[in-house]
Amino acid sequence: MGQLEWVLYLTASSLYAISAVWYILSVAFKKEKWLRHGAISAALGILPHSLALYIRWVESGHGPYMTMHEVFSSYAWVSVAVFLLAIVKIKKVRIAGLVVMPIIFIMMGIGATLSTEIMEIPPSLSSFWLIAHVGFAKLTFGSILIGTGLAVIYLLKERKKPGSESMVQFLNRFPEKNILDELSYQFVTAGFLFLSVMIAAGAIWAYQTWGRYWAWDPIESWSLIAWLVYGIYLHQRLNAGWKGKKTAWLLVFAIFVLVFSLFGTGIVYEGLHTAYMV
Amino acid sequence: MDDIKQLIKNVSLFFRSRKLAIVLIILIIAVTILGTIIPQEHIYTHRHMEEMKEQNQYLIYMDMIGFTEIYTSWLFFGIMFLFLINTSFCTFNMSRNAIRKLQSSGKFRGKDSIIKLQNNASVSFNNNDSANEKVIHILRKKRYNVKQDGSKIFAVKNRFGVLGTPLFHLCIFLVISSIAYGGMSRMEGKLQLAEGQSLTEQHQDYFYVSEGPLFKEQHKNLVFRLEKFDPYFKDDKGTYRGAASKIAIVKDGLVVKRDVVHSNHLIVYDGITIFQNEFGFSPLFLLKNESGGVISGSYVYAEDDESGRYLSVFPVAETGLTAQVTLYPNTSRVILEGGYDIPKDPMVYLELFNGQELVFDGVLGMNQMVAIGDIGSETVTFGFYDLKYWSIISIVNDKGIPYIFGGFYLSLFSIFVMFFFSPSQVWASLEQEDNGSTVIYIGGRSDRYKSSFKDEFNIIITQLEGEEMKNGSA
Repeated sequence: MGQLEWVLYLTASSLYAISAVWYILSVAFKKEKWLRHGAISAALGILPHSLALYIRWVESGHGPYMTMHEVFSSYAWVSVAVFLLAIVKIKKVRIAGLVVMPIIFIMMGIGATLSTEIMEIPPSLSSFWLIAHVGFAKLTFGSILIGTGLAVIYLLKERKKPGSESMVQFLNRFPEKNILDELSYQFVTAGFLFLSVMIAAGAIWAYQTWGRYWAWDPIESWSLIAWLVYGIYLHQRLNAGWKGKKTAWLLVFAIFVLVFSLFGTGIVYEGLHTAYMV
Repeated sequence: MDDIKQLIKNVSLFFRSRKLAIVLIILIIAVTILGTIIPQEHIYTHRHMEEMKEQNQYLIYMDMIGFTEIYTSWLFFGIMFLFLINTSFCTFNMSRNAIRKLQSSGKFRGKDSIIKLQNNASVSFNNNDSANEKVIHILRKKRYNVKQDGSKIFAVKNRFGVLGTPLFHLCIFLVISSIAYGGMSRMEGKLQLAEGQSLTEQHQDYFYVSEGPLFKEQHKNLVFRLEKFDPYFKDDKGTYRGAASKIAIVKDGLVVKRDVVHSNHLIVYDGITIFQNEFGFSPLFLLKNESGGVISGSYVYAEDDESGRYLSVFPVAETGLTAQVTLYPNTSRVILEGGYDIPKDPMVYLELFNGQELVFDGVLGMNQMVAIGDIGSETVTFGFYDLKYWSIISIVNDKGIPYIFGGFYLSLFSIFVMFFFSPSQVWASLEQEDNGSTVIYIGGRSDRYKSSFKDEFNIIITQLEGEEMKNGSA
């Protein structure tokens, strides 16, 4: 990794950290306008982050999906991008930054501790379907992270015994619970669509590369599990009338399954994706 | 008779139960997780599995109940079969409901019915001449399809969104049944070909064949010829594509297809698909007489031992000896762009055995030989004369593939329809009041995203009120 790329990466991480701090402080001190500072810091952070990824892309000759450092960095970038786009379009979503930005900062921190060495791309990975596969995986994470963030805010508002009267008043300035619930549902729905495209693209790529579309590799199995868990969420919302607290808790559980599926399986299991988890 | 009807009804209720669907999905998740915890036969080599069984007693029990091949176990098949039945019942039921909904959604409503809707409002108009047109205009601007019957208005948006859910379930049914059909009618074979060699599609030419119970053998008299192999193939754009085999498919003596197969680039011909698989080296060994005439010889397959060496064991014809060869393809290392090696100055370490007795061991370079004794009155030599590649190509005939991928694409479309085309309906009724003014009673509902619909409904009302104010000021 070049020095410039490293400096840009650290600058982006610092700005994301500042953004996370603004969000946390806004809740701690009940200052709604500080949420705006958080969003601005995140927007400033994505600029050096984009440059760092661009430099790496040019140097390595392939997208940021080969090493775990690249994986964490690119997932964080897409999540911030989706979040910023979301708050431009739907202002009510900005409160999700309270959950999203600290997670982004943690991801950048983990990425910084991993090997930043550039890896050659093996011929089997030179495929349009692979780009679609990893691209949609990142979009899945970004969308579902925001959806889960909104679900967590919902649960904060739902608390039976709020911390103080001023906290209740502060939380009341944010969208109504039913709106948070519905926005969360919409982001998770988009994430489910992206997750489905990711799995389908992966299956097509595997077929073109190895002649089989599904091999029950652990990472394939866990992506199916994540898909089924979010399938249960949508099924229960659509058909069983679940909403509110129940679905918010289900989303909090489901994000752990998704995170394990996207980041954990390559570390825990031996399989197709293990070779690149450095 | 009534008992039978009741039984059928109960069975139908059971299989179309949403609770059953959730239970089955949870069971699928549980079995899938088990498959990632218990070592599976398809992931590890047979030797590795045996070693693990020796170390972990529990694996022997898991093997006995079929859990070391859990995704092809009767337990998993049973759950999937039930899930397929459940999906088909649910799909049928949902389709019926969706069609009913589509057929009944065009009905007009009067004031009494409208005011019972969750989202409803009334707006008074002093001038009733254009009230209808204004409502229609506002709804059309919001992309509603509007119908009018006298003083009553019905508007609908994303009407076909109701078909998303049954379509998605139909796709799940299609994908699962296609996987089952493909698995049962699939054939996969592997052909090991040295450069220049041809093999037919007859069973005896494959070194590995797997056929599903429904696969119908229909030989097409095809011959596969490996014309050239390149382990570091570059495509037209100069991108490294890894191992690539130039394959000619011959039918009735004519080449019907010729193409290069490599990772992410398949050859498809007449229902079969060809993939690049492993590769290795084929050294040529010849047995020669004193005058240099060839007595016997052939290219032999040398297998990669995953340390840069290639191993082969074969009988030396007419001598009763067995040769054990360790091939070193790169003794002078040549590194290409991208860190790839190419064979340069290959050598073999040759061991010759007469039964268990080692009668020769030594290193031979290309075109070097060793005298190994007499056959009849002649002293014969055994030598290493050429080096070629061999390549394994997989030949797959899977009739389920188009349906599986078709199901994938359609399911993505259906998810899009299901969640992004939320059907919304708005009803309006114009009522003449005693004071001569006109009141528009307007109400609406949406199947999903009710808060978003509420916002949209409020905007419609605000715009209507704005129109009325304009009228008033005019």
